[in-house]
Amino acid sequence: MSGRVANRRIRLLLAVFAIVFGVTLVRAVWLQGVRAQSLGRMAASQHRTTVDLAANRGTIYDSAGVQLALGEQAITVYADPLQIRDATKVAPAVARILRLDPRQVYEKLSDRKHGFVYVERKADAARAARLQRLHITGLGFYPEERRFYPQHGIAAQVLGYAGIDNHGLSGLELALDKPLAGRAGRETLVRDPLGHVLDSIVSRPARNGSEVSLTINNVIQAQAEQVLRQTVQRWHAKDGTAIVLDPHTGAVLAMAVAPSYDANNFPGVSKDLQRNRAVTDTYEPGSTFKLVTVAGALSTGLVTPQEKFRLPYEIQVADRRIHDAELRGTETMSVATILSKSSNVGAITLAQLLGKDRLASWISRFDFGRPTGIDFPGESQGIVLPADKWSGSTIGNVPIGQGIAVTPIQMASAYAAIANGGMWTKPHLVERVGDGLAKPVARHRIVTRWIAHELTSMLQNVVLDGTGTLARIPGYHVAGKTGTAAKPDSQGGYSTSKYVASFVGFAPATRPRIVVLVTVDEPRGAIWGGVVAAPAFKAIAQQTLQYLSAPPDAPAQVTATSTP
Amino acid sequence: MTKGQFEARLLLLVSFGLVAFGLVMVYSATSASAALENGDPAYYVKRQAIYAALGLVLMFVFARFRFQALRKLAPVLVTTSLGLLTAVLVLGSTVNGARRWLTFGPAAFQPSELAKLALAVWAAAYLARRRPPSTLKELWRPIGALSCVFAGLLMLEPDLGTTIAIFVMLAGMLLVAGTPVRVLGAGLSIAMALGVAAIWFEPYRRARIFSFVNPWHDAQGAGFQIVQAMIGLGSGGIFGRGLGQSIEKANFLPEAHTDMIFAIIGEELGLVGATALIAAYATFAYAGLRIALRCRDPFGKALATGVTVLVCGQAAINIAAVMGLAPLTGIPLPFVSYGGSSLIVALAGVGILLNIAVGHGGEARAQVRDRGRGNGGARAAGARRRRGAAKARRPSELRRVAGSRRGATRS
Repeated sequence: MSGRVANRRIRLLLAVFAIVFGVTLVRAVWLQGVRAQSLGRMAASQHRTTVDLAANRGTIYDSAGVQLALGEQAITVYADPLQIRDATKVAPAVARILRLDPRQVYEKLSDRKHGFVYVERKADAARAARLQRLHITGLGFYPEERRFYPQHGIAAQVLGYAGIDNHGLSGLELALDKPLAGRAGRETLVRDPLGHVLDSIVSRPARNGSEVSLTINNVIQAQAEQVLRQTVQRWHAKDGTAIVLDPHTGAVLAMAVAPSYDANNFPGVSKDLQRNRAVTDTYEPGSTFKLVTVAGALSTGLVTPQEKFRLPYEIQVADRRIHDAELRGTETMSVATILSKSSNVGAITLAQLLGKDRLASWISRFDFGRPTGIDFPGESQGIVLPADKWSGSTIGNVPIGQGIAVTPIQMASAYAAIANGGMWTKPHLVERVGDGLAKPVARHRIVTRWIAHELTSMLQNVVLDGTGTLARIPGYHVAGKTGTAAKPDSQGGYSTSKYVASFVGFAPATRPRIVVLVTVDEPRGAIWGGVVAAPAFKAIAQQTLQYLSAPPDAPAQVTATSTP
Repeated sequence: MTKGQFEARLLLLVSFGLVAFGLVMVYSATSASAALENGDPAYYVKRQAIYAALGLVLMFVFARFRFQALRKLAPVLVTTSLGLLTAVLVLGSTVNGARRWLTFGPAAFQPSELAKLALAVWAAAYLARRRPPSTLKELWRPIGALSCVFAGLLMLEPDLGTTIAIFVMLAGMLLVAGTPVRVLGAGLSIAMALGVAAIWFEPYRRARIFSFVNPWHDAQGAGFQIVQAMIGLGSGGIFGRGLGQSIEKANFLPEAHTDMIFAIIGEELGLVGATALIAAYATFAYAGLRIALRCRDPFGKALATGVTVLVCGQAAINIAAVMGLAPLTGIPLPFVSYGGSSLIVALAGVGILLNIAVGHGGEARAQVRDRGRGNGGARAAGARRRRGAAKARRPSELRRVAGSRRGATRS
């Protein structure tokens, strides 16, 4: 072969290789430079999945640091029915350990249409662990947080519930869902085609929910609930509410609703029971509302506490005749007596002096007809007719608490304002969220300190020798007011058999520490606030004062009653 | 520096670099799956290292061994290869539906790799003593016929990749030998037509091989491997995910440590790594062909061409296939892909090239075969120079002679 030709051909070969490698280089630039992004996206879509990292839900504490709601470690048990070898054998074993219905478990495990079924979500950790030790093929386990209410029935309606996906569904769990829930983190998993995790990148760590402290005290709450439950049972009532309020701060120390239930059983409880009636439901208050009428008449200077009125048994207002609760002849009563004897005729007389516009403005001043702004979801604003919608007879029933609807928390707050020297304070349930400071409480004056003092002594008379004597607490001066209101019936009139008996008051009257309100819906056997609700008030207030170690303000009475 | 030392050093450097790089990449591509399979992440890389050591020993043996002796061994090598290729069809162990390996205890050997080298030696010997084939008939007898026997045996394994590699190598050698391009083109066209026909009538293979035309058409089926390779390369971008960080190697890309290892390199080291690797093979081609260029012995020239084209042709076809420019035919990336026989034979080839580059390929003996070395070399060189000078019509050839050591002594 010719060396010259060969060398030319070798150079040609060299050129061919230069071109070939040049082309591969261009292709490399095309794939790894120009198309890098779109190919990279394709890689990401087939390699990566993003999963949420669950954040732990914050614990809810009472004011004493007792846990009311907390996240508990639970284990979710799932199954791949296609991998279950013999559902007839596995199902009873699973059902026995998890305490489920064997038939339902069998149905799930033998359902070969799915590759994934929940056997039990958020099962008890100990039981699930026992099941896990059996190493049954086809069963899977993963940890999940379950909401647990260690105090069971305590404050069930107030706390509400966080559902299976750990989100608040009602009550404070709903109102505080955002801080309680925290923020789920995100993690990107790189997987091979068989699902093995090759790498995990936490792009956002989970932030656990904040801890929340309530103003509720579990002891006061439990006592209030117990007294209320007994009262409702004793009088075969439909339901009842009780509120214990700190009049100075607006802190709700207890908010009880009867009948109650175990908060852990929330999903199985009727919607009716789940309501926190103290905030969401209204009732016609009856005589407890006379406080507003009297406060208005006193504050405007139309009357003095000792001013006397000649009052007949009955009074005609437009087309209606209104009479007092007990048959009597025409009597002379002071303003204080009108309140302590709960005279309808007297209250209407004062209201007529005041006139409908001024009465309406006083109703509004006591914050009836609008939500108190308590930090609980679904608060009702009550039903208050504006003055221009009043009929001729309205001035005959609103002053005595008819034709007007209020919530228990509105009424408790109104009395708390009197207990607090005339200063209305917004009620609240949440003391603190996370590390945040307590928010300043909204307050405004509704009556002067002097008027508040006068009203307090009038309310004391109610307990001393008026309609509320059963509310007396040994050792303490008690101020309060009974209420007995016929419930509106479906015909637009008032029922003759269905009443709401209530009592609202505060103690010690000279230096109020607590306001207590009790309402009992449709008691049977007795209807009177002074008979049905006042003893419940007394029990709750007495226990609470004891718990708070409130110094007695009527020690003479203590000696008197405790001496044999 | 002795004549040819530069090329030899360049070649040695590139080969060592590629072998070392190959070990790193084999470890990267196999450690995870090896750890899962048999608990030893270094399982594959240990074996590859042993093969590399054997290959390096063989390389040094061939570098010392006078390559001219191979010429006499050519018939033996070819018959041995044919024997082994026949044996593998009978005794070979089947892996992935192909009988390519002869197993001896823990070691396995691919006769097809030996066949490449044997055919290179034989073709070089034949072309060195004959006029280049000037007609198709001359091309057919005996080179075409013998290569078709080899191809037939290889396709029975089947091993399409080696068949293609052999044809590419022979084409390079025939081209350098001076075969008219027309004849060579016709011959190759016939071979290619036969090859395409063979593939065409097997629908599975047809789909797979021609999937490179539009791999996205069936990205989950026939085009899967190319699509995964391109995703790997593309997601590497300019600088790559970083050594060891490939995701494609985790069960996405089949044959990640063998034929598709370039995709893993591109994914982990990006365009930078891919460019460096392509440049390494280009350098190998440059050094190898320079050795062929410098060699005055027609046998050495042809053999150097054959070995260089064999190594770099396989590299180019492999890289092109991984990038979706050429069909996937199962050609490994020389020095880098996992595989003992391929590595050992490639290193042996490097040894032969080194030997051709330095010393034993003395230009004089190329022409005056009976002379020994020593002072005879000077005379022979003089004879060659005279002849070369007489024939030199182009200044480039004159300059080369003038630039030679002996030319310098003369002036």
